[in-house]
Amino acid sequence: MAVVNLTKISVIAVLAKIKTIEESNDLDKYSRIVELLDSTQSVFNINLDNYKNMELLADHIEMSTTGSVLWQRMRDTYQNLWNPDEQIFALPEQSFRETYQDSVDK
Amino acid sequence: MAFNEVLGNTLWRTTSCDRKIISLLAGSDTDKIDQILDLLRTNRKYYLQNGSTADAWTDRVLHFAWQRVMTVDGDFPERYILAENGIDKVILENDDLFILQNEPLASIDYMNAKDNDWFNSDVRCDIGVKLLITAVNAKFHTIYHGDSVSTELAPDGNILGPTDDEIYNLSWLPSKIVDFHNKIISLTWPAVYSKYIYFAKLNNIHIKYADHQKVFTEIEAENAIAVSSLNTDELIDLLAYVRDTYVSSPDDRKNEDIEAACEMLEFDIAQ
Repeated sequence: MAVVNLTKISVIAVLAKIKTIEESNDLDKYSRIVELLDSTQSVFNINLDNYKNMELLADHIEMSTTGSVLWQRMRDTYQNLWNPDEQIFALPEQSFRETYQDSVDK
Repeated sequence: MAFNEVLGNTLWRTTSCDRKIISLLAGSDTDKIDQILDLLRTNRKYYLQNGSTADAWTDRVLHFAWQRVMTVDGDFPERYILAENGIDKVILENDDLFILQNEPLASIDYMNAKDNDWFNSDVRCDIGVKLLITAVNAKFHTIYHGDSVSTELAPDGNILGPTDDEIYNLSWLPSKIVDFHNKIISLTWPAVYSKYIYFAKLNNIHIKYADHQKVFTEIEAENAIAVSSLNTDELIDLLAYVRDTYVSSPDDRKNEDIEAACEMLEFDIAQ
């Protein structure tokens, strides 16, 4: 994994970058996000501003104002999304239902 | 045989001049840059006789002229006139009225008057970018720090700066600074996209938005352009240039954002 030591980057910059990657069509976007999180874990050791950071989070990430908790939630979620074998189970519950319902309808 | 002919060449003059310049730089004279500029002006013809091109000599003058204190409007204070035998001594750059005596060098007016083709060296592009950023920062500080003519306060008690619209369309800046910004980001040397354009645009992004989310979203977009336009060596050079340029600046929020932009770009390069 391309883990680089990013120590000065701010949480908002990391979240903005994650948002950009997630919205891309890259096939390996979830692995890139996990690598980014691994490169920036230390910058999450702060208390976050709830309002400012919420807007940058994907719907399937539950906000926490404790940065380290938010980091772990994102790490777990994107790690699961990265694994194609487990991907369907890792999707947010609503998406899982929609996917399941689609398959039933067909 | 004339004394000058005995010497055979005038290389000793440039050597002596260079030695004086080095000595001045190491010293603490408050007017050392002016003294250096005078030395370069006085010895120009000898430099040209000994292998230096007019362009190289101009770049060297620019290098030092830039280091003089600049006013908020991007101009330099009036400089004393060097007179010789009671007559103003003027040196011409390729006879195009390149007059040093009132120091139009390294000023926004001077560079705005130049065609884009004139920006054909690292020195010229580098000083152009630094001149632009310094002028913008200086204008910014006059609004928010101390000597502002603006006295209107925001509800939080701070100086009420430009409105969001004024910030976004750059109308809070003097038009010549905006023109210069547009010139810098349209430069085509050494290529249609370069570290100079990146840096100028990065600075522009920062002053356009107060919202951090917008700043970093825009930086992310600019980083994508840089990655698609430059090779790895050029990107590494870009990072070094941006960081070197800011290393001596006061540590403020802008520096933090610039460093964050660099780290975001580092991540992209690593991938």
